[in-house]
Amino acid sequence: MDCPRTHLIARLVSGELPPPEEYVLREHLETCQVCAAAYSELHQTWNVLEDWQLDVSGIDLTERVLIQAGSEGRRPVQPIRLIASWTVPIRAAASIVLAVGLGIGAGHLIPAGRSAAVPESPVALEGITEALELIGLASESATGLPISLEPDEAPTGDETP
Amino acid sequence: MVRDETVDSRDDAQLMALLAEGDRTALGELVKRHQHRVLEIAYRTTGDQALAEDIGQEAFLRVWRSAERYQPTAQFSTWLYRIVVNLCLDAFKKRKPFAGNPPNAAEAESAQPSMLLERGDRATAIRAAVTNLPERQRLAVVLHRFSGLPQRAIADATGWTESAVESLLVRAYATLRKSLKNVEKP
Repeated sequence: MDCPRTHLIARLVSGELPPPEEYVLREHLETCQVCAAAYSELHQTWNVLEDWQLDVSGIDLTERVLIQAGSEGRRPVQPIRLIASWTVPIRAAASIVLAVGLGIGAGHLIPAGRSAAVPESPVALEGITEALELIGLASESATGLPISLEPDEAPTGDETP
Repeated sequence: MVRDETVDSRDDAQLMALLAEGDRTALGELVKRHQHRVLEIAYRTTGDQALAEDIGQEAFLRVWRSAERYQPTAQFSTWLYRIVVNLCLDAFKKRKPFAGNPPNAAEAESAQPSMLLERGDRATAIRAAVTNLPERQRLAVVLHRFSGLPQRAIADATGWTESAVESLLVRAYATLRKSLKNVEKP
């Protein structure tokens, strides 16, 4: 035979019921044998468990935690990476091919007798700028944010006074 | 039981704010303040002191690594306990049987609470009874009976629903009552 209030017994024994609910449940125990028995059994078990005492006061984790934290340096903060590191060599190779191709193309457009050292074609200039940006030689990306190539460049908070 | 006395009047949220700025002394203060409760949870749950210390260390290192993302929407201790609970659950998945669950049958028999009672070792009997509970029931009992967390706080710390916590506790206490029926308060 069950009682729908039996599930509240653990809260009663642990003292976590609000006073009004505790009062109502204690009154209920006087008339419900199921809950009264459950309360008695759990109360006894609760008291027996009291005897599993631990003394951990001899353990101090402070030093080992601080040493380990120190060895990690700063917390590993993920940098804002606009270019994934594994793509850098591929992008660089592609950029070189692009730059060479544009240079050859621009050379065909230069009239005979003029130097090819300074390309005047807007297409060529744009291509070279893009190539420099891709391989990280330009100071800013198209978004205006610095391009982060190395995780160590990310701010760590050490600068905070 | 002797607890760490702290003279630092700053609350946990203030220490976490300092930690987020890189102040490692704040980490030391948080460790001193909470380590014994963390160790008790980890030890009672795993039954292994070395593992409990590893869990404690890792818990505080996760606090250190996550300080910048910490939002004081809940109590720091609830957040910390959640880290500890997750580490305990991870340990359950990875490790061999607990000290309370010896590997061979002869040892298992000798570790039954009734056998230990014959030796008059009450604390060991209780420890064996708790350690023999299924993992989630054990964790719920440790947090409820020994750490004094109400069921709602246990739900917050574990991510389980309150009704799941209640159900785990009902079953755990019923099992403990049977296991410890011969143990009476002197």
